[in-house]
Amino acid sequence: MLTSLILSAFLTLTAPPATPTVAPSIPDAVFVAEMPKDAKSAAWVKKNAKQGDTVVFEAKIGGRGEPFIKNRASFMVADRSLKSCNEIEGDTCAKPWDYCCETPESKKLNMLMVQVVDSNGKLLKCDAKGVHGLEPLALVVIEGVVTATDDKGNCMIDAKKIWVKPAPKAA
Amino acid sequence: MKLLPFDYAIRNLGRSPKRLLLVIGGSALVSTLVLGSVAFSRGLEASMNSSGLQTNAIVLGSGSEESVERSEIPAATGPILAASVDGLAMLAGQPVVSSEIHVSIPVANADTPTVDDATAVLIRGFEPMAFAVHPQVRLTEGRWPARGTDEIAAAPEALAKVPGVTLDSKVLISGIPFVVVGLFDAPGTVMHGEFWMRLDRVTQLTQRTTHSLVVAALGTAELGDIDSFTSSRLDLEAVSMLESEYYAKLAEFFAPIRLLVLVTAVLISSGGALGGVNAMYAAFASRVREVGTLQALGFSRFAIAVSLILESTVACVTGSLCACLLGVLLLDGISIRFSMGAFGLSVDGASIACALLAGLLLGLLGAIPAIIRCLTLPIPSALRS
Repeated sequence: MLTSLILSAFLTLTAPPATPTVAPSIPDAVFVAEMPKDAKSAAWVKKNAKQGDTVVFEAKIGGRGEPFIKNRASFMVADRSLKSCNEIEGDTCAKPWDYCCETPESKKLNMLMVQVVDSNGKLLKCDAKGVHGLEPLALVVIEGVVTATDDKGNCMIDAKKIWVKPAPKAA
Repeated sequence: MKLLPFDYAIRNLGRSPKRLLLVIGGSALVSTLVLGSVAFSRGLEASMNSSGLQTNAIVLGSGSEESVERSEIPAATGPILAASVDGLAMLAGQPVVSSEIHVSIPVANADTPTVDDATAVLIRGFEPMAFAVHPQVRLTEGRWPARGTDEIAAAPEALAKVPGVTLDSKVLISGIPFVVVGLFDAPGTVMHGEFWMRLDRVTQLTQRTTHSLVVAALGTAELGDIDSFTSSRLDLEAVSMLESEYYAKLAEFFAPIRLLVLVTAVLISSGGALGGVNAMYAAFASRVREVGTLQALGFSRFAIAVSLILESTVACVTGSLCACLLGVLLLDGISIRFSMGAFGLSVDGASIACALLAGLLLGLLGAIPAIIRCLTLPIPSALRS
């Protein structure tokens, strides 16, 4: 027993110090105080932008019940022209940001995914929800690069700058 | 305080064998029903828990999160997922991704093909990668169906739904005879009650161009990676979740049924409980004079009450033990078939504990009316009765 105690003490003393692991997070520099200029609509970006283009567009966070990907810096946005359920009189939808009143075709034309990647182009493994006011139905103006787009309704933007206008408080 | 000797209570049990049998029988009935209902609930829960693995993610149609059978996703989803997500488990250099179709179709014995004989059974369309994502499945006899052939493999509970069908016999599905070329089992999971057919054949049979779901072994990837994939591919109209999460939701869906079974068992067993209590009341009521004598001899009412409770508890717990023995020998593992497959009754520690508790409560509470009857009388009245 004494031997094992001495051995474990020796191993503890000689072991290299554990490197503190830093939890990934969206860099503060991504969030800008000044709104990027000449913002287009999300629908315009989906229709006209090509892969590799740098675009500036405005949109609202939403498009499904949970627009944020859990533990990933990625979220869905919808074109401002779409009406979320809270903008429809008499609608008592519990998740107005899911745009459930829109048709699947309309969603395909007006929604896209935004992600924040690291220096290697890998999606950051952290939550975006709640960071710097990123909440469902928050108005965002994003400057980023189109990394994927096709004629099937898919579009992915790597965000470089995000300006956030907080979501309106529920009455 | 002086208590009555323990063997006094035990010896009293043998004074009226018929009444003793009635009490034991009533308690056994109550305990059996409690045991059966808890075993049903635990079996269903265990089946759901073991059917879904935490290491698997499933991709299914948006809006069909509660039913794989209702789900439809493009057939290309599996290959696209395999090519798009890094870190998925690999087997022989291929990402472990299994595209499947789950469909409930009437199946009949091909030798007696009457409409009445056809029973809806869940048929799973599979490709070889399915064995990597469902390690619970094991071939016990024969071989797996080949691609493009009218062949099918069956689990024991699926075979039981179609009487007379064995290995090498034929089943009739949508008017086409399929040879049962293999038998497999997946004990304790919903797959134990399914037929398995090659994916291409199910696609032809059901005339569909879509699949039900894709099951992917996560490896070093995380659910977030799959979720990110499904969210970015709006064209697929798909959602993702852990396989275990899907079955947990399904278990929640069945919670009212489990409660209903438990309530029904309690209601039915109340008849047995009342019978037992009545027999105990009659047994004790006829001993009012004896109880009066014991009080006259100096035993307190509390000591007599303890002796009567002991007597009734021993009888009831004996009934519970009989019920537990019967449960372990006869009920454990009995298959219950339902639309999604089958699950076995699980007579485990929890169900046995519930049955014993039911017997114990019956013994403790069942003696109270008789004790009130015997001990509320004044001693002279008790001695004269």
